[in-house]
Amino acid sequence: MKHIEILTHILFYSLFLVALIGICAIGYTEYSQTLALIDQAETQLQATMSGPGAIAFQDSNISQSDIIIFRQHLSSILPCFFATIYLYVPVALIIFLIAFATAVAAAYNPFSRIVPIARGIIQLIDSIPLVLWVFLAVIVVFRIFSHPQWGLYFSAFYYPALSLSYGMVLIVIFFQQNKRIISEIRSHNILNGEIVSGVGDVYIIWRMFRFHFAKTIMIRQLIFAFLYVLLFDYCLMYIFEGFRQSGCALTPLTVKAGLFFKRLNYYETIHMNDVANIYSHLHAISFILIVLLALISFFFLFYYFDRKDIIND
Amino acid sequence: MKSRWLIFEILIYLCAFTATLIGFFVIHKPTLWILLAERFFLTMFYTLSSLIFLYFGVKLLVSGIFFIKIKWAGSQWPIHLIIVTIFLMIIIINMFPIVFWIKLTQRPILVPIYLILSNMLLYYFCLHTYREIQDESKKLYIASARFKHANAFDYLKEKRQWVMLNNIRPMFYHLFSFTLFTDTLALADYPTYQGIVGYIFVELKESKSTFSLELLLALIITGLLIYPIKRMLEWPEHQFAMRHNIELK
Repeated sequence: MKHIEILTHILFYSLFLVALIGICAIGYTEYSQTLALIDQAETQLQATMSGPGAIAFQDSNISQSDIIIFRQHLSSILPCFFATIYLYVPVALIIFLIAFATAVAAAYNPFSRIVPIARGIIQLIDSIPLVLWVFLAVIVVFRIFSHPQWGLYFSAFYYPALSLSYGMVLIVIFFQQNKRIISEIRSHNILNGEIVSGVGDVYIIWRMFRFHFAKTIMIRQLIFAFLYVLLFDYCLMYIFEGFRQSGCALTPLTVKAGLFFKRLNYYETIHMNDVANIYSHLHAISFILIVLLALISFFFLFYYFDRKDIIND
Repeated sequence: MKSRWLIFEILIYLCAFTATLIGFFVIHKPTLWILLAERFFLTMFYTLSSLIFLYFGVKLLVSGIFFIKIKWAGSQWPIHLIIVTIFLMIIIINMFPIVFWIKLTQRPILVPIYLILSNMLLYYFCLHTYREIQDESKKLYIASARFKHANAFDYLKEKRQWVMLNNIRPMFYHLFSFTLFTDTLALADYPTYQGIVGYIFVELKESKSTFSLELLLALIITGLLIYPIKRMLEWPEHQFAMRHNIELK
């Protein structure tokens, strides 16, 4: 019975994950195609601008180019959301899993040999400020991606590697939370009872994850990590255009930040004020996204205050 | 035994520091060293001033919440709803990225305020301190305070102090990291007032494809300068662990 229960849960979670990744991948491919079209339109625009008939182009064809961008952009709103999920959810999951694994290693059995290893990992992450982690990641990533062959092989890991460096500090925070909860469960002698009754360690950890982490803490931590990495990424995009290179998916916030630079570059040469209006709906979408995430975290916070004890979950 | 390890650590640190210093003078001009030191002290000024704001802000807020909670315990007031509303307000203020606040009012004087009001920093520390004190308030010696004709709020005083002291180092690290945005955005028109993080970032931006020795030296110097500050700020954590006989991390 136990094995069937575990198997059904694993199947459910894996199916959910596969479906989510599949949907996001479809959205991502669609969006990358539209992105290529936008690039093509831009290169055409630049080619015409450098030619002799630049002034004539400004007067006659500016509305046509606006329409092209507008059409392409309308078709990319939904894939933008999928790209957001595709980029940040795996990073949030990795952060949570590292934090959970280290917390279990440090607090489940205090006499185990892996306790100093887990503590060492956490102390290594915690003893260096976040910004230095980001700099190190940027140096390493740029060094790898500037290589002609290695850059092609590792292009899929470019953005996740950077995002993981943004959320590095969260591993320590989640580790502390998870460790506190595990030690609280230990103090109620539930784990000792299960160990004495002959249940295996893996099954006990799985049950602990299912009843004490999967319903409340995991979702809250995932949302927090998602929000934190999103905001940090958004901030960095504003000050450093080079973080986005070719082959990287775009999110609503990315497009917004990219537009900021685009406006800076082209504002004096081409008076494309209409582009700002076309892209303005993305501003609204990004704002709604942030508000929704904040509201979700608020409801989970409310749930936290409502509960009396961790054991009664 | 511990004091012996501390002396050993200090010796290693001094050796690394002198080696870096000699390397600096041999490879580069001393002007770069002076520049880096200036930038580091500027960053320290911004970070520590905002740390003072954040420390007393969080302490006042969380103490106020517990004061209300203990004062109104057993009454008909919806205390949980009030607390959740306070946290919601903090989320709403704090959920905007640092770019939002900098774009709103671009003034160099407000750099410490920008650092506090961004990227869920205040929210996280408030929630963390609240949880820690909440766990402590469930203990029997706090619950039995009112039967001893004493105040539970006073009983929690020591815990409140220790929680805040334990939070100093993570707070400092967060603020130090986010000076990147204030250096590059709020102080963009004032290059002489930019901190060391902004300097390293500009170096990184310029030497993106090629390896720069200056960048590496700047990173090493930052690490070496920040290490004694880290050791000083984590002193309360060690004291707390020793006093209550608990493990660190």
